[in-house]
Amino acid sequence: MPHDLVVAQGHDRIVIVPRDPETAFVYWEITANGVARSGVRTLDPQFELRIRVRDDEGEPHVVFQASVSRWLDGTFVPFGELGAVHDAVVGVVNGREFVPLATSQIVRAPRSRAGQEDAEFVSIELDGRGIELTPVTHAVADVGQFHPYLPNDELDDRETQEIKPLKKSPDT
Amino acid sequence: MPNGFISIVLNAHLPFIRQPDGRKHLEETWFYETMIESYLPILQVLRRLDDAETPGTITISLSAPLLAMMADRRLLERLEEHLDRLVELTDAEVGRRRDDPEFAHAAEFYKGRIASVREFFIHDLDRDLIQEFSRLAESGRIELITSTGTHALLPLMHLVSSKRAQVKASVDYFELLFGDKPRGMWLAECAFAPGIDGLLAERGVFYSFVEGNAIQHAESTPIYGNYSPLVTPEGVVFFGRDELVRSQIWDPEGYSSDPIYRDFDLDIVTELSDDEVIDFTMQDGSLVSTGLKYYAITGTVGPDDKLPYNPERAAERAWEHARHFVEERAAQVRAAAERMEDRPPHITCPFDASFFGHWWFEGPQFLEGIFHHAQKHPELQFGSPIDFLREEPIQQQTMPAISTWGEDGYFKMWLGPQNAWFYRYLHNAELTMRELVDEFEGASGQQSRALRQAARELMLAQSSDWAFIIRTNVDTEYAIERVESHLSNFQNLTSQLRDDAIDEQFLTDLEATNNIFPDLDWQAWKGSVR
Repeated sequence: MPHDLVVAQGHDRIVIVPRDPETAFVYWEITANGVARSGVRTLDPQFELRIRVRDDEGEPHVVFQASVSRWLDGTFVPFGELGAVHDAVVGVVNGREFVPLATSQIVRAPRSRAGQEDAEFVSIELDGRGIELTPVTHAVADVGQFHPYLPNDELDDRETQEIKPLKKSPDT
Repeated sequence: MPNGFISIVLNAHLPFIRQPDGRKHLEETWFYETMIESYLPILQVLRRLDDAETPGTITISLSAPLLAMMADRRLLERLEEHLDRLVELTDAEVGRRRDDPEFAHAAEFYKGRIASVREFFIHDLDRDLIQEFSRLAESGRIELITSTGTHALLPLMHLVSSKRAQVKASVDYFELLFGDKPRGMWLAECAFAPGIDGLLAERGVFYSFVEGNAIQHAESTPIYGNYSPLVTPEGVVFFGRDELVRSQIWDPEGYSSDPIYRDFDLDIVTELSDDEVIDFTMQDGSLVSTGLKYYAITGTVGPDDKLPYNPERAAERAWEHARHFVEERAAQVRAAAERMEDRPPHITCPFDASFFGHWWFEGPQFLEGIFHHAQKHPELQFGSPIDFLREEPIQQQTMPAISTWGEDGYFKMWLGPQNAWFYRYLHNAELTMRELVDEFEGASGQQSRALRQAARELMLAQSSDWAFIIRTNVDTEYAIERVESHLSNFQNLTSQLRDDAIDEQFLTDLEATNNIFPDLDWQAWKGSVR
């Protein structure tokens, strides 16, 4: 990006964007004022910038953390539990404790399997150009798990397939 | 009642391109190519189906950028000029190839085809594609919908208000052009996340399409798998893409890769004389496709071993593939119906419209063949999602999962090491736009124009096309330049607004160039939480 586009917002922040069930992208910005407010001295030999990813489902816990070198940067991070809500934190460490400077919004990691909620049904009424929903009790057959329908192998034979004459000649 | 429903859905979209300077720009050729190879031939197919009263409805999504270009008189004039150049070129080619046993026939074919498309565009449509889409929608041949604003990937945006503005802009624009709101909306890249359904519902949109994994990984197990849609608590119905249909058409073993079909890459532009090639040379010296390609895919062979293209044989194969497609859907419906007992299965077949014609040259013939062959299968109804919902009003209510129709069903294509960096800039601009709306509440006149243009520039930068192009590593510099230029324009307008020093000429020039969404509501960014 050209240098004349604004890259910094001027305040401490971190943003997390889900990418797939296992991965998110986070980007952050740390300011000198933010570090100063933390009371952690940058000249401390054990000073370190650190990002954390927390699984906030139930008791929040850190599922990933890493030391980062730049005050304004981004990276890919792993999620914890599939489908769980997460957030990201950027902060400073002085060797003993992690002092958070900014916390992201909460996001849910994409699921890779269906949830456990009970199936419910509604009746859809198309009213003019709108839609109305009415909950209904709907008895459904125990259809079990659907598997994709497998086609026949006709496609594999197409090299030798005899082409039949056109019944209609499409005008190109 | 039919035993099964099939909805064919075509998403027609191009990134917004408008260069009033009269010079040749690479991206403008994208418009010519897809108009000549896809959108006009598809309209020809639809008109023939309509004239023949062949049963069936196709759902077509027209994105706002594409609609804006289809409504742009200057761009349409240049398309006509381009067609005129192709008429001259095909005339010359017929002369050159007359005694060439391999290519004389293909040269004649292109001459006829270009003449047919030109005649259709200029005389049958009077250069007005929007009117034709409107007519076809009124006749019930197509169900017309639109897509998210500038084809923005909503789940990767930062603010709810930004997503809301994207949805609102395209619904408003659709209503402006067609006089009615769309009932359905194509989510760019089929990108869904919970909450987006509410934004659609706010605008009266009540159905959309998602990748199959959005259905399979919903909050409750989908009782009918992907053979029935899901309704969210907000009252928006989501239809999941059928994986088998995708693979039968798209995969390397799928229809579109048949050796008889036309090869996409080998274009005659490299063989043209110096005088002729000028018409197909961009200002940076790069050559663009003429659309005249004389070789068949042939198979896994090098360019020197490709066989000549035979348009008639390819057309026959497309017709035969259409028959196979319909019979496969009939078999698929039979197999699914045995399990479903209380309702017919619904199969959703969504595609990029430009795949039919531009990427798969014979694709429009294939589409026509589907509806022709479907007449022999009264147990199948090729209809719109609305047709299905009218027949089957009871549907499962739950929330689909986060998903896209990209790699592995998630966001890898648009959020990877090559393109993740620019989301910070886009998100910054969203935050700034929200601040501007608060700072300039009640603005009118020149300030209002500047705010509207800033919103346009932000929305144009948000198009999913740029991340996609960067990821595919083709025309990367162009995509980066587009994001940079829109964000730079946005930033300049922001500064001018805040400094109370709006540059009237700068604003006027931008309004003339990036003129999408004439009535864009910049206040749509107001009052957002993330």
